[in-house]
Amino acid sequence: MDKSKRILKVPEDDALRNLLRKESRLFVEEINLLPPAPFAQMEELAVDLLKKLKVSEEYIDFTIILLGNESWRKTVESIPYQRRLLLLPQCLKDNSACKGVFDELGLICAACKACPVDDILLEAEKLGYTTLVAEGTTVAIGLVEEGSIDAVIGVSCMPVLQRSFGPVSKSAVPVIGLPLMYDGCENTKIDLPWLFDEVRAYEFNKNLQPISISALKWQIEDFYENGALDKYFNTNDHTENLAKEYIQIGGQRMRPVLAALSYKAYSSETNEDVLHQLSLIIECFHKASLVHDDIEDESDLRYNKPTAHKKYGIAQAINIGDFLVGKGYRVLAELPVKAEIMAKGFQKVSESHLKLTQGQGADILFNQGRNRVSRKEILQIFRDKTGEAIKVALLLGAILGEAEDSDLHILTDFSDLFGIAYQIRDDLNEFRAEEQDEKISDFPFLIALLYENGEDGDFVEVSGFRKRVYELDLVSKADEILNNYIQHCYNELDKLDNAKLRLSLYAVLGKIFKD
Amino acid sequence: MEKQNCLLYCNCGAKIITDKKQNVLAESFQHLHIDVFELHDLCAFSLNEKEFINSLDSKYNKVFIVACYPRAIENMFLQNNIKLSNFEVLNFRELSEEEIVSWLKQETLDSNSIPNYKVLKSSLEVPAWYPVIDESLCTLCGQCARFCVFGVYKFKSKKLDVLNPLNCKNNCPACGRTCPASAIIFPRLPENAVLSGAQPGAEKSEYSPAKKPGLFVMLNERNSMRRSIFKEGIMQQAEEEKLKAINEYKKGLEEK
Repeated sequence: MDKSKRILKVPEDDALRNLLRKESRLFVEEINLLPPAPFAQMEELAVDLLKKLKVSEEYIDFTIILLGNESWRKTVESIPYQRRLLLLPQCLKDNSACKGVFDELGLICAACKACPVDDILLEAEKLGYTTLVAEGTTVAIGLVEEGSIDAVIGVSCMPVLQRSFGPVSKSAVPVIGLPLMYDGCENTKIDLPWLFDEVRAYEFNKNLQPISISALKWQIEDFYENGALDKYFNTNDHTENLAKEYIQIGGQRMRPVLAALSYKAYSSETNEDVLHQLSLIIECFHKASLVHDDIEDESDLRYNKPTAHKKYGIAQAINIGDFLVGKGYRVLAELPVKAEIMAKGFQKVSESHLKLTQGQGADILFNQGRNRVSRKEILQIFRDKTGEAIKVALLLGAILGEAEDSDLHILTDFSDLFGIAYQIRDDLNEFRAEEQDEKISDFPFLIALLYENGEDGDFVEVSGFRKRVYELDLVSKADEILNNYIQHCYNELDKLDNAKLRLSLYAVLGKIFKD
Repeated sequence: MEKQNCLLYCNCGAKIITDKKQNVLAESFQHLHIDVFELHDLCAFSLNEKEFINSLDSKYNKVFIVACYPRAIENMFLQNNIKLSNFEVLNFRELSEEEIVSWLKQETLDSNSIPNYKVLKSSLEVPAWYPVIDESLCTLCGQCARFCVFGVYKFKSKKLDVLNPLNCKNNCPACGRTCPASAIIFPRLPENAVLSGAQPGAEKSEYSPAKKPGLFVMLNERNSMRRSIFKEGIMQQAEEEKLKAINEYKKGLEEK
């Protein structure tokens, strides 16, 4: 049945609703459905379940919502009330009697009791919930993004619940959705006992309670604020001061955040000092490679500021990079961890260091005009450069958190795939942006695809290159390959034992590969 | 000959801007090389002398309007079926005298017409105080029509009309305060607010999630104040305004 043509029905009969709720829970437990599950999979499961129960297929969409809820149930239940949002629609109000007023955020309930909104809000707020009576998910997403909310319990009509399915699973926000009994946008109704069940449910489970990426990001950024670095850069030596300057200068801090994520996901207790040191180690190696890359690529600007060699000369810049490498190893050596963990960490970091420089070497060759490059060669460069940078962050965090080897292997594969997907996407973004000063070497992946199609790659002008890319429809080809790699990333994550890291990385992927 | 531009300058005397500002603008406009019409006032003309405003469309290339919020003017024209294909509103609530005058001087630099300043008075004998609906915001809930006791609105089969604008009681914006979508504008309301035509989003910016949990703190403060907001707040103000309007209406009937 075509889903766009289905009538989105909620069973009116309490007994049937409760039966479907109960059976969905048992079913999801039995097959261990992990959130966020893709819509197509849940659709199939819903059909199976309704058949098994001999219930009419007209409740398929209702059942999909139940299965989605059940897949999230344990995660949501593990989240303290104080980190949850209850989102009610304003159409629940009694239009003729409502005395509430609206502000920029939504309805401010006046507690006139003409509708059940006030009772629901009071109950939820008593528990510690943040509440909002408003249509749409803008504020909810805002709260997740600023790091103050980890789960949403939302009431809405079936069509809206269905529409929000995509964005919600993309951002991997744990959510329980309750459908209104019928749509109509006016004087609607809700199954109150059901809502109260969901609002009250809580079960402590440290292994499931998600890590707020945004909150972690704020914490990491504080590590580089003035003063926080003094503990590690304290000699007031000239070289050390220059190195500190480049540690402090901006960037997304994506690598330290990834390292911190995996450390927090695996460690039983977060040691804040280890967290700080870990993020600093990763940032030292990252900044060292940037300072050296900028010399090698003759770049004048980074983060809109002069690069180190522009500001202090090439000799000083090489030296700053070297210092940062040393600093990274030094901080690593000072970690308060067991000897075997330390050894494992050293092995991973030094191995990454070698790979990154090999990848950079191959890239330099490529940039020197060697346009005859095979797909295999270019993917290896992506793996060694970008993939390795992600890998060392995720793995060092996981090693310090004492993760099992099986998960380390999965994270290794994931990082390779992630690095490749990231670079292909970068290629495509640059190609679509059509910048004035673009060079053919800005599109290594497309060059490889051209070469694969029998082009010998001796283009002088970007325009000729662009023409051939269009003629051979290589953009769609690259898009297809990209989506394939992204899907493989998700597949790797599904193998992870650690539910917290799986979910966090789902959110990271959702954010980076938005469309 | 190429068509010139003209200027409509609203002088409503509703104390929206100071007398001094009103006079400075009038004085400066007399020297502009452009046809200037000082209207008493734009709200009244839009209702009562709309042919005059509509006639400007064919005579002039562009009509500058010095009055209040653009959102108020645009929706007032829409509601009163006034069609100007090319007009620009300079908001004297927010722009200073200098900003307005220098902008218009710049725009009329090339003009070769001689200064021509006319004062026009509406034949409407009561203050042109009436609600203007911003259709882009109105959710057609009908709340305003149910609230108003003077029959200003007609709400039937999901359609809202300002049927009897002059039934509206001077200075009573009460229905506008009850509108859940902030879709009602009273252009003559002295306070600078969404209710008088400011952009609804304008107040939003201070809520936008700051670097750290600003939205969360704000939302929870708002919720903890929920009951008191209501008690001290806006709905009560609206009810009082309505009562006052009813009383004045009654008084007016007795005097007759």
